[in-house]
Amino acid sequence: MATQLKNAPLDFTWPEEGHTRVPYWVYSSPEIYKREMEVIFGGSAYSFIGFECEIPNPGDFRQTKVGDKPVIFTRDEDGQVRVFANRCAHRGVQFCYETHGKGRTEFICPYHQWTYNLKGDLTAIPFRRGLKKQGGMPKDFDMKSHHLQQMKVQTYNGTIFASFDHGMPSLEEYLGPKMLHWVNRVFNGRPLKVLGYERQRLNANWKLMFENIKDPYHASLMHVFLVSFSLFRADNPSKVQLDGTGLHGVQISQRGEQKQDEGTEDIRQNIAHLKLANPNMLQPEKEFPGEATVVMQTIWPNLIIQQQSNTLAMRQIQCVSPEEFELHWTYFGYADESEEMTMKRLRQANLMGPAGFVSADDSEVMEATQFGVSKYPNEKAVVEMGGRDFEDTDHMVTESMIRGFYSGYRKIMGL
Amino acid sequence: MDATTMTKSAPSSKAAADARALRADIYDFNSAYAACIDDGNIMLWPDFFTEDAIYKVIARENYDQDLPLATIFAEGRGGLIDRTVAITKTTVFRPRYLRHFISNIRVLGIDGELIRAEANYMVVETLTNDLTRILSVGRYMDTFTRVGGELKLKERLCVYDSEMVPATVVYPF
Repeated sequence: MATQLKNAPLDFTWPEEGHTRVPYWVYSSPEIYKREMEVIFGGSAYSFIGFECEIPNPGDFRQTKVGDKPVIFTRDEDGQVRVFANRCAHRGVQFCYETHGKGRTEFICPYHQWTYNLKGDLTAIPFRRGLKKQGGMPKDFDMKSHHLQQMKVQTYNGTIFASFDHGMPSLEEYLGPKMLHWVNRVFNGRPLKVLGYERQRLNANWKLMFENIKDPYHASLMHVFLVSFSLFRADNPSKVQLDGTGLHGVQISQRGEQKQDEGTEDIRQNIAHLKLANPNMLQPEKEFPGEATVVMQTIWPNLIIQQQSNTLAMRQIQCVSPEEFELHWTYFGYADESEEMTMKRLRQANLMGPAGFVSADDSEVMEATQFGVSKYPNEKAVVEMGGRDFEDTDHMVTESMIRGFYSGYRKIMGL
Repeated sequence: MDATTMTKSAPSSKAAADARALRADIYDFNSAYAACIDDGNIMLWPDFFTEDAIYKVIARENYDQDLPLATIFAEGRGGLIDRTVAITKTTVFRPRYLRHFISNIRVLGIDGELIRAEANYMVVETLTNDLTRILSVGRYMDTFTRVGGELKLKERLCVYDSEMVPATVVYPF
């Protein structure tokens, strides 16, 4: 395989072993990145946009990105959530500068003041009829064919998803019952509230973020903090589930006892005697049905739903370039929860984010992965832990979800 | 600065001399604080705080929107110690140097034992074999008190403008 690529860098041929190998060119090639932005983020997928509670009233808006494409989401006068490209239909100018705001009745592009209503419809063009009978738009210019580019929007129990493909099925169908079950665990219609945002830019390919969360194998080894406090261990009861496409996945686990035993001999990093000087930081309270205390769900193509103890967050992947992505974290709780529960979430947030006791390890290792793979595009990763198939398992010693992910990815990308 | 303030800070005024002395104390405090982190003595970092101190690193967008989430939230000496233990024993990160630059110290008010002050900070990070980059820029919103005559932080909020964090925050600001 390697020889083919050296001689023909544009002929991307997947290694013959299939989804147990990941060729390193997927992490650095500009051609692959360009195709991903079009067929994945610009194509038939539902990207996570935000929460309805971030735009409670008509005219409230926020900027975000779908892949690397800038969009805004807003609520129109009828209460409908709208998502459109942050790009004037005239000359492509970013018309919305503020990251968020409220009380808009229209959006006006600053360049030539083309004006759009909250539905994204073009409503006014200055000098449309010219000035003193001079200039102006052609008589047959049709305002109705120059609206903002709209996305198909689906709201689900307070969450907002959108797709550039208006022929998409419903979000429920897209997620499937198995994935929806875990989405419903946190999004059951209970009103949400945002606790805050974290943002980080990583010198790494965006897919490494998905791989990281689809890889429970590393979690019980690298994350000394998680393992030492038994928040996540290979020997805790746990399972992995994938949807039919392999693109969505979820790892489910439960907290165990802090211990050192024969089953964890391979976990060299376990510091069984580690104690918190301020135990307040980590006093989780059961709030969902079932035994699971950790549910990390990956929703293709841009979302990780994080449920670790009481810290809940949407991690939205935004792409920057083949070798850079951003992770945008929205931490949330419920509008009607007790102050005590909110405080637990804020304390446990120390685990996550750019400075997280756990997540900092991941950010570091993703950049280290990019460092390793970037200049060796013709080499490939070996993904055989737990077998060569991708299926649900009742343990964590597997890379099943990564294999599923690349199986689905290859179909969409035509690789 | 209006005329009244100008008069107040005239060299002859005792209040102005006291204010300058306090600013100098805070300057020395911040210099020692920076040196502690930058010179690799992170285990001593909790000593700059009172037993019941609060230390937070907060993205400016959260602070400005009254959203309570902090990037780092350490409560009391225990919380600060836990952060240092995580850095030295559990966190997996690439080696780096940090350099803190702290300036524009302003004393905003004195309320009994408590001194409210602000300063600008910049933290520059150098990863081994890589270019130096600005990791964080923001302001400290501080509440100091004196313990045995020495200044200690009762609260330090590091509110950062640089909301897009380059990769990872390992050491405190």
